[in-house]
Amino acid sequence: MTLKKFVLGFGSVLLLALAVSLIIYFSTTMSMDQCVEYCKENSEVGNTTFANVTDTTYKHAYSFWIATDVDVDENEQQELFIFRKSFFGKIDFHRYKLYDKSIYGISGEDLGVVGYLQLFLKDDSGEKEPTATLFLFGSEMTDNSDHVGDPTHYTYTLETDDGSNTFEGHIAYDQSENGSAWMNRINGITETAGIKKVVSNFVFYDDEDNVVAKIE
Amino acid sequence: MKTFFVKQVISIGLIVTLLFSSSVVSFAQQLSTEDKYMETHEQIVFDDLSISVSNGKLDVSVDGSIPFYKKTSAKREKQKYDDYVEEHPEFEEQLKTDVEKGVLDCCISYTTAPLEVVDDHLERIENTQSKGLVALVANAASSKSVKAENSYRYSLTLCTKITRAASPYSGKDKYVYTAETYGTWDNGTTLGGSKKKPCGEPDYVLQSCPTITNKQSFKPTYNHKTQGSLNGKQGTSWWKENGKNSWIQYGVEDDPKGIAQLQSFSLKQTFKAKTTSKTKKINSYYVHTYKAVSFSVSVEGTAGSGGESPPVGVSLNIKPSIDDRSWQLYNCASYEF
Repeated sequence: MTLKKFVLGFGSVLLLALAVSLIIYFSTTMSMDQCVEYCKENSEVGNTTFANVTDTTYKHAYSFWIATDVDVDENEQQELFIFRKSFFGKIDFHRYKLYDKSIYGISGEDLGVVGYLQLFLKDDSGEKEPTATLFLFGSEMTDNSDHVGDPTHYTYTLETDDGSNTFEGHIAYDQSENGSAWMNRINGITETAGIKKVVSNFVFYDDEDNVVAKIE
Repeated sequence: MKTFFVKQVISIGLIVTLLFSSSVVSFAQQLSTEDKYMETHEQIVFDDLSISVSNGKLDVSVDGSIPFYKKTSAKREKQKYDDYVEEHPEFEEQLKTDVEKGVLDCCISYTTAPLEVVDDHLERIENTQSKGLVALVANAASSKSVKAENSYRYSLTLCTKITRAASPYSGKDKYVYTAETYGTWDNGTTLGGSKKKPCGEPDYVLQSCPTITNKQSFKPTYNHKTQGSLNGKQGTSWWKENGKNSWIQYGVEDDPKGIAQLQSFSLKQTFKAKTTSKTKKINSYYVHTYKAVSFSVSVEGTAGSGGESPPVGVSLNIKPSIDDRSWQLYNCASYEF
């Protein structure tokens, strides 16, 4: 009888702890749909449509949301939200937490065409990686834009211990029902302890090789 | 009954008095050399803050992906960061440059000391100088949180920043850490004061790491060119004075000609370490002299070799040959690595 009471009591406590943990987990994480709502509510320029790119390099996958209704004519800037997958113990409920987002930075026409965000991602142990990652991103501009064409490729300078070289990158737009967006990333940026990999001087071109944006 | 009640009141009064006086004595005994002088010490750990550069602008925010129980402490670190950059706006640019160069900032620790001019040189201000016993006890209780330096014209901040990089070496060394100690003088103060208050004697900057270091560097900046450069000249404006495998002492001229006053400096040491999740300390010291004096440095603790679990820290004891010709400012950065 005593053992039965003990088992029942212990089980009740365990169940209660599990229920509380689940409530905390679900109230502090977001489903994919909630991620979009979060982006809409927290957009600095009132963007309402976002295209999704998910990176599954990590177990704690990152989900990227790029604004697709940026009005360059209104001097708006490209916008990116980054979410990181959060597990309940080892169970994957496909829930996310906001990791970082781009902010409205230094004003300039070029940043309306291309946005960038450089940061340190976390590995699966939750520790920040010792090298930075640069994200370049943007969305297809609306037809009424009288600025420039959409960027299709770009050049940039890569500095390493061996010297400085110019490289070329290509832009591939992801078409979705929420619009057309692109995102490229450069990993492993560092300049410490005998390793050097620093990028700069980005020049973006349209399909007719006209310069459409520059990031120094 | 009345007598009993009076006795009880007196007894309680005596106990309260005894407790209060023992607290005062206890606090007074706790005052170490550091507590003797007015200073503010703080540390900001960036582990739970997200630092990014976005569209040309630095953004520091609480990492949204951390567990909920870490949020409160992360918000506290963010507030400390905001307060620090308000006082030291140049740090924001430094942090931005670090992100752009892929340098991961782990933490900064800083100690600010108000200074006053005494007999044509700068001296530290004793805690008791402008504070009564109650204030002294309150100060000890609030862990050196004297904010009075804002009311003084001169102040020196000694700051140590720890950064982490991927190790280029194979083996068990997971990361390479760099400890950079730099000094800045607020309100346009340069150590040695204005042109009217030259201090011809050299100053010293020291730093000790818990692990054997493999790279050291020093760079002072003057507010006028000296030896043809704002950075001075190695061997003349600054030099390696002393040091062993885990600590270093540099000597630096301040105002050698009465014009070129020392404006700031940066001392860096690099070391390898694997993550042990144990707190280790980087100790840094600034020694200002205003009359000729020499120093002996004794070392406490043994440095760990690269890749092994290092000890908590290596500390230095700097003893001047003659008292009352110098003062010191100490800062300690504690971090888990």
